[in-house]
Amino acid sequence: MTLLSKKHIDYVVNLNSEMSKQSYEHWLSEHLRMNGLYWGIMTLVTLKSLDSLPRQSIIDFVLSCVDKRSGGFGAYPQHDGHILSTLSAVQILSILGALDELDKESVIKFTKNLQLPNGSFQGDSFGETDTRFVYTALSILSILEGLEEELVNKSLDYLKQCENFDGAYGMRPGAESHGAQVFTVIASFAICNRLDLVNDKLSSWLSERQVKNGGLNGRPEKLPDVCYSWWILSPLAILKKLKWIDLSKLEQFILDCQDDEGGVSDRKGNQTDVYHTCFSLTGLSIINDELYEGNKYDMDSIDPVYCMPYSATKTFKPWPYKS
Amino acid sequence: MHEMRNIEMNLCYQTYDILTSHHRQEKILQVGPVESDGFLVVESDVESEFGGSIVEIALNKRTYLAIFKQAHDYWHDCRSQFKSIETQSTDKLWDLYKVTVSYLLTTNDHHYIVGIHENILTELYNRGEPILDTELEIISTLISSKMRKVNKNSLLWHLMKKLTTINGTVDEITIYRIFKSCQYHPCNYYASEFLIWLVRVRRLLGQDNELIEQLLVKSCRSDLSDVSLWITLKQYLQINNEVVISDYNVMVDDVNSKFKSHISHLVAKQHLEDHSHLISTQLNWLFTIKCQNETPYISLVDYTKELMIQQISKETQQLDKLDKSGVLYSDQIDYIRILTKVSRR
Repeated sequence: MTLLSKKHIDYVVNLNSEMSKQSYEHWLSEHLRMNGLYWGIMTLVTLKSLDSLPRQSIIDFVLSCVDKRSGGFGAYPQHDGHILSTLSAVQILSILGALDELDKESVIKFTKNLQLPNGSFQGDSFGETDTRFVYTALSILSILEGLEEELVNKSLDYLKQCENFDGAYGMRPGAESHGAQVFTVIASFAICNRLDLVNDKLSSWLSERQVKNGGLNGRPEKLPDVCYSWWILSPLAILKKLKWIDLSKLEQFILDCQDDEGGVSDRKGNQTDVYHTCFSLTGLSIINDELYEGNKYDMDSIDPVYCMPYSATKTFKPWPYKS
Repeated sequence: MHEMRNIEMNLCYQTYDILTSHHRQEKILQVGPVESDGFLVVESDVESEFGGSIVEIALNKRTYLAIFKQAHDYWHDCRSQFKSIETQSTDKLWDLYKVTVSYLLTTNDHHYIVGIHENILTELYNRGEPILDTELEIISTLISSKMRKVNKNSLLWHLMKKLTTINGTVDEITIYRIFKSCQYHPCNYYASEFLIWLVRVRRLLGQDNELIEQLLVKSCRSDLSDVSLWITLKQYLQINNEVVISDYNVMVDDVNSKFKSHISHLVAKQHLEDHSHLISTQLNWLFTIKCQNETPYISLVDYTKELMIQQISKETQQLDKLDKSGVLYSDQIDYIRILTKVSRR
């Protein structure tokens, strides 16, 4: 099977159509809109088709989601700010070259205020904590050049507590190891320039995620899911261990999960969605660069630390900042 | 102008009524092919596997979407009420609470609505309304439902931690429901994370974990490939007070500030629990059934490598009694390979 680029572009563009806005699904997922927009944009960026969506309308929508009370972004206009939608908003504006439109100081303040004394970050005032939110905070602060030594050190201390006996990481101290959490921790270490903290056992755990049909799972004994083509592959890319899995078999698994009408599903034949479409194609982009020097598919190169195109991340100031 | 409209709330009321009634050990909520609209409630004559009673509640997709639409319409039309809960009457607050409950049933990971739900919950609680048991009944029903996305909604599991903290404990029915949640959704990441948190906190609070241990072992044995349950058992056997105390105290601060309560911080305590019998019993059981999954062994091997090594030697001796060209011989080789791989980790 070949890469159905044109179909995937149309699939994402149609998600933004007036007709799809009339559906129940549109309103049932209102609270995921900002994340969904990021996933759609990353799909288009990866396929070098960002201009398929109206740039100014996207910027206007993102800015309409600012929660002036907290300084963060909600998932939808008039929603309270949450760290997840704030990262998506910052990523989108960065990709579109529109970070100047952002009140950076407010976003930095919002993000820093979410750190708890034990180094973890809560998503919002509800208080849920998760390694996802540590990564999210570090990523926002890195993009906006707002990292600080104490915040970084406390974050790293917390993340180290989330390491398990197998060298992998869970969502909180004591929680089971999980592929997506591993990405958040390894990418956080990379942002903080502390990849020396990674346990040697981790690469084995990551390579054991590949199952017979070439797909990757997020935990032992689980079925493969195409989104782990990003969550597992990106930490391997960061650790420069991509050869530890069979990339050709994974490439085939990803292509098999495509729908003829566009979009990608978790496994072959299932319902497609923009989340799986994004993380399958960003994973495929890593394979394209590693196996084919970027020449097999017409795809942009994606930074495994930020899940954003290198064209955007190359401008980010590395930590520690030089005075 | 919109807020003057008489907005329909019948489905939100029905949802609230159904979720707060039938306080049974097993309350199985699911969306399915039910012909009639509304909720279908079936009381079962059969005892649950844990010896309690069962009630099944089903609704069709049409009802499910209608509940969402009603909650959504109310929220959109009366948004300002949700943003000024301190000034609302207690009766109105209960209505708003019921709207958010309908949202919790029909959406997942809705941070904004969960935040509003919590604000209303704490406001009602701080006004002296008897809402804690109601809330526990609703949330424990949702997390143990057969609705996959609701069952694994991390926000609801976090809310369960808060309710456990403010309540000081969870009742037996809730504990049974948590294990049903694990059964309905194998490898239930958030349920297991909650269980690990619960057993560790209960241990530090001096509460016994006998029922949890019994149900955990039973659940693990019923699914050898459920990595979440087996990792929960591994964590159950481990004492890690420092991290648990720090984690719990963060929760206490949050709960005290929102519920205006005075729950004390946990302090370090010496614990001497001997799990050696539990470990050897489980490992010997795995040997007896010749378990071919690695995960169960991995969860136990760190505590008793010696037993594992003895078993490898015993199984290796068995090889001499088998025909080298037969299936039994190759099965035995595979089995020894698994044991050896795990013991070398």
